[in-house]
Amino acid sequence: MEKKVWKGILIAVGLAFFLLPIYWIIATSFKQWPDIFAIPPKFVFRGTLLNYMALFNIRLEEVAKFGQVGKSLFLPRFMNSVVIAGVSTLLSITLGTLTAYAFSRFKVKGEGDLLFFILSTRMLPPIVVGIPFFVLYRALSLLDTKIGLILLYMTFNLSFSVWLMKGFLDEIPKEYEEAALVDGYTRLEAFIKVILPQALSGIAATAVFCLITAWNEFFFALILTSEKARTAPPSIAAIQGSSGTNWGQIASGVTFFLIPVVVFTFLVKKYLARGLTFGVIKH
Amino acid sequence: MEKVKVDNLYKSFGEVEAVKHINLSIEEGQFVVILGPSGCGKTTTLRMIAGLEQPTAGDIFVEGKKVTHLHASKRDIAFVFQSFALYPHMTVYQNISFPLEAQRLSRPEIKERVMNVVEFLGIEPLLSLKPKQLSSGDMQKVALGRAMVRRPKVFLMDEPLSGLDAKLREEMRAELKRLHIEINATTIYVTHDQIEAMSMADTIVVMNDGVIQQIGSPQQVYMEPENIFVANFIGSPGMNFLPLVYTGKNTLFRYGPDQEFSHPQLSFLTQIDQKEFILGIRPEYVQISPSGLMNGEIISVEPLGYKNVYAVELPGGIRFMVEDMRTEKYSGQVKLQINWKKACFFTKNDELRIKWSQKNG
Repeated sequence: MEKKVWKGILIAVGLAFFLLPIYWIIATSFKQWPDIFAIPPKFVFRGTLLNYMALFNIRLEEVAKFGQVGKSLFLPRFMNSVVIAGVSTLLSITLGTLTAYAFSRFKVKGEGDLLFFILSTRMLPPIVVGIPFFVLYRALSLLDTKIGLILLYMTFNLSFSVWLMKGFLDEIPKEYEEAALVDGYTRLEAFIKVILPQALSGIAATAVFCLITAWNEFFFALILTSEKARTAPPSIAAIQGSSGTNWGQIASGVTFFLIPVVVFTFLVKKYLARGLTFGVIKH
Repeated sequence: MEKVKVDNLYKSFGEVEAVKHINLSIEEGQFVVILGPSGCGKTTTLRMIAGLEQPTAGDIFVEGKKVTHLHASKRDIAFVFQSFALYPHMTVYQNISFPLEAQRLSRPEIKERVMNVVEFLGIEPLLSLKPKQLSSGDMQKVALGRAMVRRPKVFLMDEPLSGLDAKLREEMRAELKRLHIEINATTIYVTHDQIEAMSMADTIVVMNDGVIQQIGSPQQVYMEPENIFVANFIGSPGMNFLPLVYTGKNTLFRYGPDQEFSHPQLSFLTQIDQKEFILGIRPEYVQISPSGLMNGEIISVEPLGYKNVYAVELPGGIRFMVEDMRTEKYSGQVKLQINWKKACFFTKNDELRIKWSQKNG
């Protein structure tokens, strides 16, 4: 009994640790200016949608007082994020799964070295390759294009998805596709009809990781884009003006920014439980 | 014409030679069991016939057509895996119909053929279940159903019963035999279990170390093993072996320190240009009898009800397993009587059996 209580307390502390910042940012997005800075912090306050209106530049009288002019850029940039993160995730899990399948099922010459090489692309801190990428992208006219960021995020996530998917595919006994082969299917048909359905949980987990990485990426988005292809993270950061920071608007931007990842994660939740505990529980 | 022919088949994995130039002919409707200890190359051979493994050298023919480099899906051969390999995301019905879907048959035809097989195996109530919900015996039946539904040219089975518990294994053995008799399918069956081999096979192929040791009927491999390996591997307990040295006098042979015996049945050995032999005799052909030729001491007795299995130590330390049901004696010195007609003799240097033709003349 006592053990149960302690377990409950531990879980509560853990949850508070992870959820409090999220609560804080969501609460702030609905607070009025003075409540944001109130000490002690206010847990009961009069809510407002002003911050969101400012974010999307819905021009009410009151919003105009904050001095924002022109059209809001948040929504198009948010859509840039959706397209870039979405497409790059799709590409990296597709290519990653196929690559991992080859490594998992066939004898590949220098398999260990190749896998290490694939992983090593992940070892440099991004800032080291920032300038080279800038120069390269300028030469290739990829600066400030969606395709430029999609290729970049896909490349970064590919190493991750190859390694993760190899683990998942290794776990699927090869007898399944061998059975499909003798049952009269080609290797590709066997892969699609037999292996893919069983790899879904692994693919879901990998996709969530890739999506989060691409979705949150800040540094390359900042240096490689300016107007057309700019994503949400640098836009939110840009709300910090030179004369004081509009925390309410930042909080509303962040809250809005959280929604797609949460939605996606819940959509694939069914597959995720096994995927995330992968390697922890051996059956 | 043979249904399946394996010609000088060779397979190596890097340094390891798994299968060393084997030849095998299988007739239509035969039930052939490839029997051998684990790692002897039997599963690799089967996988090469199925097309799941590419031979390093040699050829495979099915119905006279060379299939050595044909893709597995084009060979029209069914394979039953040790792990059953039922597709976990499909129901029993979908599993069984899966090979027919590949042939793009019409829906009613698929249904009819699946239902035929399902009825034959008595698994109608399981059709809408997923493999996870099945007992291992039922999984086995579904795996067989998936193999049968296509009416393939050849059935290959890789230790299909080893995942089942002992009681179920006996049942499935009978079921497999019934299946074989009713649909008269050419079957190649791989196992390390000699009881499975003896009870089901028309022909047993004994393999060891990548080499075929003997091909013969169950009776032949049991009674006339080609060499010491086969004699030892077949039978439980295996054959007893006793080194004999010819003394040069009459038909007198030494079988231990200061232990000799003589018997007219041994006279043919004196004509062979060798002095050292190995006598092989199955436990059921040795008896404890006061008129026996050899001395021994009872070490232990296993009373099994219908018979007793004695371990008897001969002078010199060699142990004989003796199956006897009449003797009441449970310890002490005894004499052993050998049924010479059932004895095998091997040459010491190459461990090959000396054939009857040589025996008689």
